[in-house]
Amino acid sequence: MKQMLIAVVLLVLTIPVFSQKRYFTKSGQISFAAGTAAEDIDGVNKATTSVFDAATGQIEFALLVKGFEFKRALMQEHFNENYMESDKFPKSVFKGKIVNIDKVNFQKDGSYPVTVKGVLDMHGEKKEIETTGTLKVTGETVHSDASFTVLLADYKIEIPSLVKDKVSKTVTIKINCNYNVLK
Amino acid sequence: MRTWKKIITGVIVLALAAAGYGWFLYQKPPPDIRKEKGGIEITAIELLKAFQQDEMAGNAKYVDKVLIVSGIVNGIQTDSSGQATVTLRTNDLLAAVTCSFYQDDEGVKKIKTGAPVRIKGICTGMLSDIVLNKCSLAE
Repeated sequence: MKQMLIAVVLLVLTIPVFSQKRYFTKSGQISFAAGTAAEDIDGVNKATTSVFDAATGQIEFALLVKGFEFKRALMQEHFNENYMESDKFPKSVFKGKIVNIDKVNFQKDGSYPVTVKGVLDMHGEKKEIETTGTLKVTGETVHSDASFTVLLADYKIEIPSLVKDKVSKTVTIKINCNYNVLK
Repeated sequence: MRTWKKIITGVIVLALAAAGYGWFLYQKPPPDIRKEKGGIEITAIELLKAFQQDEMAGNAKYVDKVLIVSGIVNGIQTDSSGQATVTLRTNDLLAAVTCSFYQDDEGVKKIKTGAPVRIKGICTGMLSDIVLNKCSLAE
């Protein structure tokens, strides 16, 4: 009887372990827009790695700066050489937390609004970011959507005065990732 | 007087040519990697090893270069927009070679999990995986 009780207790204790799911993607899309009325400037990175923990809400994104694709060759060159200095700073990383992860029911399909707080490490500078987004649960997959703006000056990215009216001082960053369960 | 006219006409023609060339350079789209000839032939296993041994050297040797990577397909993922990502197996369980394909690429449909493949693309560096973008199926 005692043994059975211990067995039941052990079984109950292991349940939370089973539900501690991690979701990940290697093909997340992160795009940015830094254009003005004078010129459209945008790039997209289609190979962003991201992982989040459904229990703790810890979330991370990592991408290679050279992986941004542009409509114009010259834009890509300037982005890498003059603005992001991607030889010196090849990666950008975001590490943070979905603060209201407890409001997301991964067992039930639907769209859940989330708030993410964390630190964006870009161009060798680290800055706190807070943004809202959505997690869309469909069976075993989760789709994340978010959009936020950053100030280029915060990351010590300088805009030459010659193109001041073409490059925006703030950049809108959009996140679009499809996650699968990490097995 | 006539020489002056000639000089002015010459200057205007040169200025127009320069502006035209500038506009051409400005509007030039990025090169289509599918049409590029050649590329560095390497296996997925060797490529990962090169980066794991010395990431800086790997960056210098392979990043921004056209590679033709051969390996065994670990998985294929296509999203709703038709954007496909193929991963190639390596000797490391935790790291692969991730190949992000051209959105409209037809070749990716011929790729099968577990089969050998040669993929052409631009190396962008190492996260935990080695990443290639603008990929297509190599002939």
